[in-house]
Amino acid sequence: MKKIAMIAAVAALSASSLTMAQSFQEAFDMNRAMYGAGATFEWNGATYNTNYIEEELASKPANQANAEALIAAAEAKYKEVQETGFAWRDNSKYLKEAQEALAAGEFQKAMDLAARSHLQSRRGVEQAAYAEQNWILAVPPLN
Amino acid sequence: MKIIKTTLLAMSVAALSQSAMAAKTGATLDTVDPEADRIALQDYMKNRFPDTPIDEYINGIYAVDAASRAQWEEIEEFPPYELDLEAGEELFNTPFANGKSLADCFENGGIGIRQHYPKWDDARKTVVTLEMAINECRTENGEKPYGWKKGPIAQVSAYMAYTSRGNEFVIDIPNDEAKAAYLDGKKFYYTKRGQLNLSCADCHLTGTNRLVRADLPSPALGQATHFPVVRSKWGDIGTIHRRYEGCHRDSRSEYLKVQSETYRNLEYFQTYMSNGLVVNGPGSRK
Repeated sequence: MKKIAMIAAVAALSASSLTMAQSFQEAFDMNRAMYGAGATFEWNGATYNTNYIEEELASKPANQANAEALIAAAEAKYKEVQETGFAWRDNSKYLKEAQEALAAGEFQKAMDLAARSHLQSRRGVEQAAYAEQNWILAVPPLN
Repeated sequence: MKIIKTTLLAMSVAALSQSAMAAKTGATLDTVDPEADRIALQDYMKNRFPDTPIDEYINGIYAVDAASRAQWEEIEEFPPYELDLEAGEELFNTPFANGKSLADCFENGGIGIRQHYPKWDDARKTVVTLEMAINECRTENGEKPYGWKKGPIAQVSAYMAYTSRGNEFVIDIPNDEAKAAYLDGKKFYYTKRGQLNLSCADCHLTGTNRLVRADLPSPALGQATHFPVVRSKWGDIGTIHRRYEGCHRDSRSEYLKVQSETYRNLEYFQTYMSNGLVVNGPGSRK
C-alpha cells in the first residue's frame, strides 16, 4: 500500500517537476524572443549565444565553397521535410533563389537564402514531430 | 536501489497514462470512432452556439453570424450559381462521342446521389470523390477529363448536388481500410502545419465566428454540404478541393495537388462529419 502511494506520488510529481526545470531549448527560445540574434545567455553554468545554427552558417566567409555547402545542406534538409509532408510554402522558392544567386556569383545572398530555406525545413521537421504526438489534443472530446 | 526502481516504475506509469489518455480519444485505428467524433463535434458546436439548431450548419458562417446571413440572403435572391447550374445540366445531359453519357456511370442515372460522395472504393482501396467519378466516367468513355478545380467539373458537380438537395448525407465507412482513410483525413484536419502553424480546426473549430482579419471562418460542422460554391473572392464556381488548396496555401504550407489522396481523405472525414445534414449545394460564399 505504501509502495503504491509512493508510485502515485512520484508519478504525479514527475510530470510537474519535469516541466519546472527549464530545458536548454526553453532557455534558448526565451532569450531569443527577448533579445533577438547575437545575444548571450547563461544555462546550467555555461554561456551560449542566441543565434540559430543557420545564422552561424550564413556568417561564415562569403565564398563559393561555403555557399555551395550551405545550399547542399539546405537541399538535404528540404528533402527531409518534404518526406514528412510539412514543408513550408516559400521554402523551395528560397532554395531556387539561392541557386540563382550562386550562379550569379552573389555568394552572401546565396548563403542567406539557403540559410532561410534550411531554417524553414528544420522548423517543419520539428513541427511534424510535435504534430505526431499532439494533434489529437485538438479533437473535441465526447462528453 | 529500491527507491530508484520505484521511481522509474512511477515515471513509466505517468508516461503510459498520458499515452493511454491520447489513445482513448481516437488517434489510432483501434480507437478511432467516427460516430463518436461526429457527435462530439455537434456537441462542441451546441456548446459554442446554443441558439443555432444543428440542421442550420449546412449554411456555414451564415448559421451563426446574423450580419453575414443578412447579406447572404440578399445574394441568394439571385443566386450567383444559376448560370453554372444551367451549364452543368447541359454538360451532364450531352452524350459522349460513343453515345453514352454521364448518367450511364452512376446509380439512378446520377440524379439525387450527391449524399453518397465521397465514397470508399473497396476494389481500389481508395476514396472516390464525386468529381473524381465524373472525370473517370469521361475518360472511360474516351472523353478528355475536365480540369479539377473550376469550370465544367464544378458545374456538373453543382448540377448533381442540386438534384440531391434535401437528401441527408450518408457517408459509409465499411471496413478498417476505409476507417484508416477517415483517420488520415481527421488527422490532417486537426494537425497544425505551415509557417503560420495553423490547422483546419484552428480556424473552423476554435476560430469559427472569430475575426481572422476581416473574415469570419465557417464552423467545422456542415462544411462539405454546400459545395461546389461560387465564392465572391473567386468570382466563379469552384470545388471543395480548390478551397482545400487555398486554405493549405494560406497556412503557408507547401500545398498538395487537388484530388490527391490526402485531400480526398480529408473530404471523406469532413463529409462524414456532415452525416445527417442535408445536401444544399451548390452554394454561394464570401
